[in-house]
Amino acid sequence: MTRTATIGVRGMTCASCVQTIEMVLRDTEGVSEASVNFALERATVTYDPGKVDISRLEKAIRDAGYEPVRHEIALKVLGMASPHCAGLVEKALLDTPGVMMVDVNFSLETVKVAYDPATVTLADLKKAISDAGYRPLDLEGESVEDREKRARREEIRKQAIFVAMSWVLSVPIMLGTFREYFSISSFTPEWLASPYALWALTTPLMVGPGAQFFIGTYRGLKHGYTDMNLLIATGTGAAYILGVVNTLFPTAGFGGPEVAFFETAALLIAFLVTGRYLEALTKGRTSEAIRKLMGLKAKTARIVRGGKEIDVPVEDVVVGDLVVVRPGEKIPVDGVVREGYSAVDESMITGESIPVEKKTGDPMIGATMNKTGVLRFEATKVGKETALAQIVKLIEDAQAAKPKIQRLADKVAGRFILAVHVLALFTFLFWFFVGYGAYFRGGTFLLSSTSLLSISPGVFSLLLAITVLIISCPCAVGLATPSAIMAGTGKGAEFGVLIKGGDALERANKVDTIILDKTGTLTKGEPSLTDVHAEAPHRPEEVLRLAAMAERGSEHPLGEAIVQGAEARGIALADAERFQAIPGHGITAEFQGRVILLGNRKLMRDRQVTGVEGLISKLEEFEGDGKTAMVVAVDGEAIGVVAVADTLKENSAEAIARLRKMGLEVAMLTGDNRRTAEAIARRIGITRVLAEVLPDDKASEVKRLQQAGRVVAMVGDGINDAPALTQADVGIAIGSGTDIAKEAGHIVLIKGDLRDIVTALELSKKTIRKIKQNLFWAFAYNAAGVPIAAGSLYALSPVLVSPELAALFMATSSISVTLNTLLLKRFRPSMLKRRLRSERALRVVPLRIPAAAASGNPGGERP
Amino acid sequence: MTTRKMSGRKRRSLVAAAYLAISTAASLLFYVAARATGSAATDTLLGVVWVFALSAIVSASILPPVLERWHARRRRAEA
Repeated sequence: MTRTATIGVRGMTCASCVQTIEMVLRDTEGVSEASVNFALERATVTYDPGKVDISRLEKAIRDAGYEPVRHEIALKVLGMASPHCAGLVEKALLDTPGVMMVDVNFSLETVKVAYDPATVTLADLKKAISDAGYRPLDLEGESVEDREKRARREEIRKQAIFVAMSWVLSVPIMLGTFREYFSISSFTPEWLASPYALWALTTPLMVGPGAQFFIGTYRGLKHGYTDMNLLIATGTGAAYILGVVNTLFPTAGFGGPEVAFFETAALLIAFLVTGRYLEALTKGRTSEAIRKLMGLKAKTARIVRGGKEIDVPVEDVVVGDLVVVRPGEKIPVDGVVREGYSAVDESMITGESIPVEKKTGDPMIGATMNKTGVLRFEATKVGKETALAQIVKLIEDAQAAKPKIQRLADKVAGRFILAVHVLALFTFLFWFFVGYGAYFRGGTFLLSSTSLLSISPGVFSLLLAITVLIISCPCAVGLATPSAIMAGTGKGAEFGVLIKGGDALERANKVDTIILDKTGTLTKGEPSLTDVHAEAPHRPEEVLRLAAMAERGSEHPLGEAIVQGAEARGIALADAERFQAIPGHGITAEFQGRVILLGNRKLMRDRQVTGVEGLISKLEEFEGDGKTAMVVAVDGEAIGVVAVADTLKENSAEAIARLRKMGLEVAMLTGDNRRTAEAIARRIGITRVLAEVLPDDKASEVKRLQQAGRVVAMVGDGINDAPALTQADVGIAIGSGTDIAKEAGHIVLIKGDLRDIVTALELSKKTIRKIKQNLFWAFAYNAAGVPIAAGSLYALSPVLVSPELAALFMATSSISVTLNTLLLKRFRPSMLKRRLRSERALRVVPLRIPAAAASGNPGGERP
Repeated sequence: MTTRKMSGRKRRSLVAAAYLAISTAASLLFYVAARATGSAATDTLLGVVWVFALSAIVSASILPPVLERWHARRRRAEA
């Protein structure tokens, strides 16, 4: 039996850290799979609990030089009468899957639990204690989100202190070093130029902010792994040691105090630490969307227990609880309205900006905002089952999954460090044995500062090798893909489009054919009354009234549509008698002694109804439009026709027009007969129709198109669409549909609005473009920077890049990749932009301020 | 778990010995080449240290996967 655990990891700085941790975990006995998400700072480990436990996994991470973040919570436990009870509580908790450590304090009646939030929730922990016969009471400690936020804040704070310390020490080091070169001697004391003073100032930098690089290198090498820290440690370490040697043994022949290199070591660390600080700041922002979503969760809920309204932590709400929500309050969990009427802002979950009206029987989504009235609803989904928790999990899984392009980038980043060290070695050997003698000219300068007048071949070659190590930046390569995927999937969630991973994004980018299922996708999936035709001298209201009265006893969807249609038109209906269904043909009923017959032509023929011939053209017209037409007859005489059809969703035509404009081939898939299917397709602008397709054959149709070389996206909502959604290159499930369809789809549209297909495709294109841009710049930077640092242009122009300048370039490159990714945050779907433009155009007339808003009640309580 | 730990330690010792051997050989080669080209003693010393360090790092990156593959092939052959 295997188990999967999620462990928070702090201290990762680049993609090679990801590889190091993954390798360390995979090398641990009992671990079958390990995947580390750099941007989310989390490791997901599949392991055999019989062979290894979480503490051992945490130790492996710690030994590799990183900090596992534990989720801990403190609970008050009442009812523990003896230390034996404490033992029982401990056992009950330890037996709960996902619990890593339990510390029971019998005298204080508290218990501290370390747990894996992906496996076990707080409610599970409290239930385990309750089941053991004790009462978990007072809740202390932080939530998982708070803890992660705090860990991130601590990391930023730590790096900020290092940055301040680095620059406070680096500035006097620079002044001291360059006292003789520039006109700064007037305000720089002479003693500051002494190599001993420079040594004294550089040493705290090496053991303070610089120590992280050496510790990381040591831990990595201990396990036989190399990472970014090694490049930095080798570079700064070599510069520092050379400085010390030149200070203590000025005549040893390494250039003496003139070539102390303390400023090189100091500036290297200052730039690198500044880079890490900025990276910590920006890295957090790419995963902002998911944290925003997590932050939406209500912390407390007001529930009715024992006839009283009480406030409880949201984790304590159980299925079946009656929850009360007042205007302006968050809906704590998912449920169904039992009492009340209100408008609810669901934009944070569905992206729909217009508040949705809620009445008895309507579903409620947790984390949305109640606007106007008081609602009482029954909790149906709590904890990990709520829509919000599912969405968060879906996005987290998506961000953890590595697309092909990222796997390649990770591989390159992993080999990169080795390649750079080999290059540094060859750079040293070339300049030592060949380059110095052939090209070196005294008096040449490095691009920043140091004079090379009296430098020996050994030191000159070493300087170039250090620059090669420092300038190379595998971080940029490693960050390029995950940061863009994180921003892309997060942005999608903002607009109600859930993208399940980078692979889905990658494939959606290549889609050239879209197949849309008809019922429930293009149409609402519920028939409604569309037309009423009356034969003179009868009036349409009369025809509809009689048809609706006859159908009142029917449970058939077509009958319900006719009744609802009549009610919606304000027609008063009385009860008919002797209702009788004639399966496959229609119905018959009696009202005030008159026999009403409603059904198809065959029924009319069988009952010898007269006057049907005059209605044939109307019947054919309705059927030609894809509607179901029924003849209404009274006492053997046809008096009119009613037509019912599954109505199209409001935005179907607009979405399809846009998809076609994007150059995609759009096809409709349905089990309907060709005539009806084509009629509907015509109305929304679809030219290719795959009609009369049996549910089982939907996947085969998709496969057929794929075999013809098409990259197919299938959009559907029903259970019978699931195989086709899985078969398609990209399965797009409608969120309002069944859970099975959502499970099968690669992309989920929460609102069920077809315009979101356009948003999903546009977002995938933008994200993939961003990944390509990032990778291009990352590789271009390294491809250009490393050879220049190795002195490849020195023969042409006697200017070299100094190690400190290389550090500046290196820090800039990874930050620029993250900043480029952050541009994705400006993404707006083209359909939304169009809608906003048209709304602005409509606002030419100044809006009148409602009295409610003017009187300080902007929401305006519904009468 | 004990068997695995032992073999892991053994493997690490083997790899460490290999690092040292490769790095020493590289440094020695460098020393011979530097003396042959008439380099100054201090420069040669600097080079020997630097070549040793970089060779150790490079072999530390290359050796573990190479040995792992070699072990896997041997295990397969035994099976």
